[in-house]
Amino acid sequence: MSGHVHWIEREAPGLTTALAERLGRRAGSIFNAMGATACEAVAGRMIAALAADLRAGKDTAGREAMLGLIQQHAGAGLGYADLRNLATTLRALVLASLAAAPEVEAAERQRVDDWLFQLVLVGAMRFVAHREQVFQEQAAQLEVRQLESQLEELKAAYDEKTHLLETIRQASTPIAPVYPGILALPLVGMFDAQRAQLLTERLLQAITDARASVVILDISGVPVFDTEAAQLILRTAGAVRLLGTEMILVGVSPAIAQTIVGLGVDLAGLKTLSSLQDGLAHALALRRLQIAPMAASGKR
Amino acid sequence: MRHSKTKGEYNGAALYSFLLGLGHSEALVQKVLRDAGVDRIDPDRWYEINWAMDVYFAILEKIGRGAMIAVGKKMIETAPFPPGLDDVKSLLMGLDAAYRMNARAGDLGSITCAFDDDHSATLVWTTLGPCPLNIGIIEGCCSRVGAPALVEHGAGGCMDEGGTSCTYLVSF
Repeated sequence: MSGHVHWIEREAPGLTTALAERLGRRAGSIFNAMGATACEAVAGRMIAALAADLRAGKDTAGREAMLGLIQQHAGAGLGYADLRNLATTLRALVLASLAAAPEVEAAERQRVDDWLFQLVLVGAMRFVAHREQVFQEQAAQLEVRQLESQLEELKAAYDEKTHLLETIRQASTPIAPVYPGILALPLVGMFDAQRAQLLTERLLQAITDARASVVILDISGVPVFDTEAAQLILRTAGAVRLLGTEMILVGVSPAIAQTIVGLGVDLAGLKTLSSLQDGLAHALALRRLQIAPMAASGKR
Repeated sequence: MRHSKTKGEYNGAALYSFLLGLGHSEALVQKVLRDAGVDRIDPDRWYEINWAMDVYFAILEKIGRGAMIAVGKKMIETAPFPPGLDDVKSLLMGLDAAYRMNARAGDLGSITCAFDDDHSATLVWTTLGPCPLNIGIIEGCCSRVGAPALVEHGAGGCMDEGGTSCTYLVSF
């Protein structure tokens, strides 16, 4: 058995005790917090690893002991300062012990020093790797939280927008009773399938409630009148007709008229007039009514 | 959050230099100060210490731990220091005196510093300010003299979480 193996087996108990005592001394360190028994266990594993590696001529046990220490305690707050404290304290104790052991040859002393150096390297590397993993996990969790937050914001914005659009639709589809039996609907804004559905539902209910026989639909406020819009209006007119009510389409500008012709849409089943005024006059005529000037009063 | 029970005072200059460190967040500073009932900090007067600490913690709540550390670091890196404080040891050992120059109260707490060797120190703080600011101040002391440091919060509790002290393990 070589000198350094004799030396470590003789000195191991004393080194373990001294290392445990010094590790636990530093305020704020993980070793101080873990208590004397746990500290003794850490010190014992390190000294046992040194002895095993000196016997085997390797550094495997030291690497495994350091890895085990980091894996076991990193989550509980083991920091770089703790590893530094462990490495410097262990080194100081071991070198002091070697200095008092003349039987250990120079090459064997160098072997111990190399082992201590490897322990520092592997400790730092494992510690950085563990930190990197923690940071990556934290970054991933943060990204997920940010994405969830963005999704919630988008959903809230979508709900608000939907609510706002609904309010606008309700407000932009007024049904005005202009005379008993006559309703007027001035359409303002885009006329799409959803709005047509809403309009038809409300109009049919209003016709029933007002017992209307004529409905005037004013499209002068509709900016785009395309094939789809025309089909939707024809469908609404069809539903209105089923209730025995006639629909008059007014507000057909020259541009819209050209568009309708260009699109080849057949509005033959629908009475169309250029202005709301014309529409109202026609509706009154259908009810055998007319707007006439009031008779001048003879009294003063 | 910890409060002084002795109605102490805090130097406006210290608070002012901290707010200068937050320079890029002018709107945030204005909001926190408005919430605290003032328009600006006068560096030539002293403020009620608990009110000043409330300002620190209000800013911490808004900017978060990482930004608070950065502000503390920047504050120390740019602050005027007396001549002679030109190495890590003298700066860290002088922190308690610097704290006492900026705060007056019977229960201020203290900053103790012990050097474990030439390149590591253990600092124990029982002061009133937020923990991340302390870390930034320690980092600032080290980087100010060209010794970037690793400052780790030691075991044994944190004042921001109800502990009685914060221990910082500094490697530089």
